[in-house]
Amino acid sequence: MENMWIQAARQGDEEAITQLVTTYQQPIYALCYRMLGERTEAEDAAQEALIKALTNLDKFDAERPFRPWMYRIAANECTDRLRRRRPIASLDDMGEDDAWEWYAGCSPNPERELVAQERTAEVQLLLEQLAPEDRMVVTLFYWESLSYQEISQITGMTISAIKSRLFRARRALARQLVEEEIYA
Amino acid sequence: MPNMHSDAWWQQAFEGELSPQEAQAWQAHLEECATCRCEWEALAQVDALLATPPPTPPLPADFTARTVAQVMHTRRVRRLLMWLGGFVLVAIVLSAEIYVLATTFSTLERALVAFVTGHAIWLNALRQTLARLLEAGPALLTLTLAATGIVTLFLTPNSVFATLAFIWLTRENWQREPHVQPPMLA
Repeated sequence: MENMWIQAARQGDEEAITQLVTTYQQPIYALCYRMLGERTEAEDAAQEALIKALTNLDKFDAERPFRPWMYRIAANECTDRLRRRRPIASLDDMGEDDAWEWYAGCSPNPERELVAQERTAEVQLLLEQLAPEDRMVVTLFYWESLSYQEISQITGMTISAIKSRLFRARRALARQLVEEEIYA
Repeated sequence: MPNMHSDAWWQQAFEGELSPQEAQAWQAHLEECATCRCEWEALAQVDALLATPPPTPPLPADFTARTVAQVMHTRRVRRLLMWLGGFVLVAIVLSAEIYVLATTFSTLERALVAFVTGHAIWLNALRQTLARLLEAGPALLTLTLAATGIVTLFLTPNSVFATLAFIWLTRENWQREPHVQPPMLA
C-alpha cells in the first residue's frame, strides 16, 4: 500500500502526499524533538524533512525500505541544525531560555510533574554536551528503539562505529553526571 | 592481563561481550578500583536515564495541511523552474542554430547569386551567338563560338575552375593514350 502512495506521490498526487505526511509526521517530529529538544525548532525541522523527502521521491530507491530513508533525512536535518547552533548555553541559563524546555506531559500531580520536568531537563542538559552525531546515535538507539542494523541504514555508519560512538557518548554522559555530583 | 581502563574493554563490558572469566575479573576490579566503580555506576545511571524517552508535545492541528501545501508549492515551483530552464536551454540552442544557419545561408545566397548570374551571362552569350550566326552566316561560326566560349568560361568563377579541370583532364588523357603500333607485316 505504501509503495502505491509513494508511486502516486512521485507523480504529484496530493492525496498520496497527504497520506505519507499523515503516516510519518508524528515519528519524524518525535525524532526531531528528541534530538533538538525544542518544540518550535522540532516542528520546523520535521516539516523541512518531510518536504525534502516528498519533493525528492525520485531519489528514493523503491527496493529499499522507506522508513529508514525518511529517518535519515530527518536526522541529517537535525544534525545540521545542531551544528549551526551557537555554543552551548551555560547551566545558569536554564529556565530563561525556551530552548531548554522539555515537555513534561499532562500529569495532574504537581510533584510528579516537577520530578518529570527535572528528569527530562537533566537528560536534555546531558545531551547538549554531545556532538550532533553522537546525539543522533543516542536518540535513535534509546528513544526510537532502533537496532544497530537500522541505525546503520539511517546514518550510513558501520555497526562497530555505532557501538563505539554510542559507548563514547554514554561514557561522556556518565563523566558529566559524576562531575555534577562532585560539584553539586 | 587486559587493560581494564581502555575504552575497548569498557565497551565490551557494557555490551555484555566479556567471557565469564573476563566478567569475573572485571567484577573483582570494580570492587578494588573506586574510580572505575564510580564511573561504572554513573554509566548504569545514564543508561537508566535514557531508557525512557521524554514525552513529545503534540503537533499543531494544521501541521499536516501546512506541510502538504508546502510540498505541493515546492513541487510546482520546481516544475516551473524546470520549464523555464528548458525554455532557456531551447532558446540558447535555437539562437545558436539560427546564427549558424544565417552564416551558411548568407554564403549559399552569394553562391546562388553567382550561379544565376553566370548562367544569365552564358545564356545571353549563347543568344547573341545565335543572332550573329543568323546575321553573318556560316563563315563567322567558328569565331563566334570561340568568343562566346571564352566569355562564358571566364565570366563565372565555377566555369573557370571547370575549364581548368577540363584542360588538365584532357592533357592527362592525351598523355595516357597508348600509341597505336602499325600492324606488323608478315
